Amino acid sequence: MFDLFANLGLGLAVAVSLQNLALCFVGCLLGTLVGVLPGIGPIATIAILLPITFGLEPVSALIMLAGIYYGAQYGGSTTAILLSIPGETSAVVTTLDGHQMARQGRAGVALGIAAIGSFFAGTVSTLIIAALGEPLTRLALVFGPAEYFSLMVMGLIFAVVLARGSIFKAITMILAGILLSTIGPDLTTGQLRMTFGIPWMADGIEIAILGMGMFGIAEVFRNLESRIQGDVFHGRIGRLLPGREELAQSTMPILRGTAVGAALGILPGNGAVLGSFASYTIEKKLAADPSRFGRGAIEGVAGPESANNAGAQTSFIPLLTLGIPPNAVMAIMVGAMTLHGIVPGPTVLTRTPELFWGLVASMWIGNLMLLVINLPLVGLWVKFLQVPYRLMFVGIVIFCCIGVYSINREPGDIIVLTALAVLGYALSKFGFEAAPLTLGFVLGRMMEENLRQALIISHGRFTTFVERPLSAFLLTVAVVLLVIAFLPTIKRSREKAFVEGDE
Amino acid sequence: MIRIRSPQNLVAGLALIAIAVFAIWLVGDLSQGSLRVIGPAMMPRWVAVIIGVAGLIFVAAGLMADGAPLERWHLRGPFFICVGMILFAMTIRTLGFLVAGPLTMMLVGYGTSEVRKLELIIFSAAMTAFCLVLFVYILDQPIPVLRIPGTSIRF
Amino acid sequence: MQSYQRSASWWGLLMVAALAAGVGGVQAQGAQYPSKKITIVVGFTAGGFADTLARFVGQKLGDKLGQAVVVENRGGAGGNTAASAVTKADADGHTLLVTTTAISINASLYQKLDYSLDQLAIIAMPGSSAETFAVPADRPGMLKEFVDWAKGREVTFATAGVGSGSHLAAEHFYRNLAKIKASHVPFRGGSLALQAALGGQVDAITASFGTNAHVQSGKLKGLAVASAKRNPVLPNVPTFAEAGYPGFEAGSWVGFFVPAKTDPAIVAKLNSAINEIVTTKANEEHLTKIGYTLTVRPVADSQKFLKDEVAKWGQWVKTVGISVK
Repeated sequence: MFDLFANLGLGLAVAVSLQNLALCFVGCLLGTLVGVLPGIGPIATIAILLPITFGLEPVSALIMLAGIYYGAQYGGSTTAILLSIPGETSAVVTTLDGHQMARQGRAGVALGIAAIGSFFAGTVSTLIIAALGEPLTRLALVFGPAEYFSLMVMGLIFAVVLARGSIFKAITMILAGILLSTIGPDLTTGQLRMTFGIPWMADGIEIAILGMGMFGIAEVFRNLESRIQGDVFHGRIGRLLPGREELAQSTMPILRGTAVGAALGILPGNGAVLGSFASYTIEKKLAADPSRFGRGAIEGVAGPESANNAGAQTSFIPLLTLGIPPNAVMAIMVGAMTLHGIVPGPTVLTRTPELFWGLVASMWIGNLMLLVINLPLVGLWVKFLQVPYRLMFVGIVIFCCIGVYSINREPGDIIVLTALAVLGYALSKFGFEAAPLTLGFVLGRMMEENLRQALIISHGRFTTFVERPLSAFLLTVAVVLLVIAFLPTIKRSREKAFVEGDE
Repeated sequence: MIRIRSPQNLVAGLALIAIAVFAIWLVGDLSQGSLRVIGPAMMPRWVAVIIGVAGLIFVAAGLMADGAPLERWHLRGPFFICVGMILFAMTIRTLGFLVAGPLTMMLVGYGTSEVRKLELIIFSAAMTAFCLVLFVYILDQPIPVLRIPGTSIRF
Repeated sequence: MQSYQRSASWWGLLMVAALAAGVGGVQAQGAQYPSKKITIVVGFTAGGFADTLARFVGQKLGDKLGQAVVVENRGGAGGNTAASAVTKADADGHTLLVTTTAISINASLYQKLDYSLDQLAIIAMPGSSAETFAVPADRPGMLKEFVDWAKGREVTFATAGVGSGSHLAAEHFYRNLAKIKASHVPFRGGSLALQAALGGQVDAITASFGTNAHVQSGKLKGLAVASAKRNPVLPNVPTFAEAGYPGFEAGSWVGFFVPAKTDPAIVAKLNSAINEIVTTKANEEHLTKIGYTLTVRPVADSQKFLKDEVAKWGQWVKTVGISVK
């Protein structure tokens, strides 16, 4: 325990230099701004800013780049809430209730609770990294393909429970998502699947494009159906910040979201994307009136946003301790570290403790800055909603076009975006939902890959999934969840038990 | 005589069956391997089969149980937006953003009957300038600004 | 907005120039090259083996040539997207392609490509990293022991993916040299393969570049490196020749290309600039420390090396029997 404070003290000493504080602020601000723009994510921004950091000390450079990363995470939620465009995969869940809140004139409250939840989650997970980073790494390594497969199965069951309407329709959508995810090269054999022989289909569908099409543009289609003048956002823009009652409502979701997100963030291989979905599911299950979800329930923003930020933070653990980047953004951080002459991996902590702890300390400072940057910005963002919708939707479309183009500089991606938007619109016309499809898409690819890897490793024996204890445990949880979902009577009593257990 | 009792389910079911058949056909020339050694076609093919079965169930439900009618499709918005986005895709690399941007926005703007021509022109011009400054100069995104085919003009 | 105004003022001039020249912008190039910013198109996502070297060299190249150098990542289709794009760029030396060994593998791996290697001219391949075979700490850590141990069972090995250099080199070793049965477990990128090896999920890993830090720290044991000399960063890991398999050399390199029609004078200028960059003491130390093996070759040698590589990897692609439609 004493070590922990000594280490954090060392980190703070590094992070609180005037230069590093300024860089952290610039990083967070830039991150917030690019996060708000659809498509231009942290990956592009960090890549652009890499050369600028050449002249800096490695630790200063990393502090700034890390600021961009969590700034963008937060900024992505802003667009998700205001315009229903998930800038990042993690913000998909936020669109569900966050955007509904915005339409009811509660955009400020939604943005505020997202900022507060994120800050809390960031603070807790910074402490987790400082205290438990090393032992947690060992836990992450226990996850082999079999465990990941079982985790994905569990995640898909979450998706079923996530459904607002009919479970049967939700399952169909999950399957459709899995089918979409199989477009592109097959990992095990390298064969191209369902790409029509088109070069720009060769790598499959980018998740960011799926989100923008099925949530962002499809939402525009729906909004254009009726008379739009003053109809999309119900006139008045209530309070800008959450009140005491709303804070009270959000407290438990924030705590639970932080726990779930932090745990999943440690898993390399993008386990973190599960965090916000899992948190949403839990909140919906525990709610006294689940029907409020999807109609602007504040718990549906507070929980997933906290989970999201906690995961973003703890995903630094595999990077710093193992040198394994859990997602594409972290991969760039590896590149940045390498360019600065630091080889990420187990040696970082022993050889350059001031870098490790400086970065950890700057995470907390960065989260504080995000709160300071974003709370005043809430008023500004909310003002954007007063632009007449007949113009606003034109802006949304052009931003999506530029954003999608700049992901790979591939015009074909805009065609894919168009097709997905039409698909998303069609789904809503038939009473299907896009959220389970998205989760099916995210998890489907990982599920197939890990299934096949696990089977190669076990030489074709399926028993591997129940022989390995952790995998068996995850599958058991999945089965239990499924039973809960399908048996409403059990569901009632379970919910009570959960709630009582919590208090 | 079969009576359609839930057109929404019926049409959804038929669409799912069509998607499933199409996907199965697309992976037709790939091997599916065995359960022990899974091939590239296994996952998409069987997922598609299940989707097809689900489609059949929806069709059956559409014929047997009363349910929602088909929702009205409003085509004006989607039409203009889709055409606009496709034009953007076609012109961004060949003509550049200075052409693609305003062209797309002018088209997309007509996606609502509440469009005001002059306002849209001003908005498009302003947004084009704003996007250029933001994406090309501030964020340094490699977006072609202006290209005139047949000449060496490339920015 | 600056370039908007710039474009207005340059417009007339450019029109006149274009009309006068008949064809746009092709003038005597070598002498005043580079005349504008240079774009380096990297065939892989930011942060990796190719990108890191491209950015480092790109930045120094910009200082040296007095023009801005921007790096543009166009990942996708194993580097083919970027390669294809650069073949279509102006052959004036202002658009460079940075890609890896993948380009010489893809020539045999893919049944159809929308470009050919003949449409590109190699400038240099300054950095490389030998394929390193390593095992989790609880497996036999000497190559001979490992091969004996593996004979009784069907071992599994992880790589960064099907058709990667690591995959082909590993298959060549297990099938043709060691003659043992080994199952390939492909991962989506080197990091996830590394994770599986660190967790002991697989029996071995073959990777270039990524494993060094873990072999140093003892979390992985290095069996052998597929290069002529030992890796200075891993002095205790023998070469394959030392471990009883002479002649087995395979590695990943980062190559700089331009469109084939580019003036040879420009290619030569870029070649010597890059060679100077990697031989400057500070740069050399930095790049070696982060894991690159540096090689200086004149253009002609680079061309020959590329040809040999295409032949070698083509052979191994055949051995493994994979092909992408």
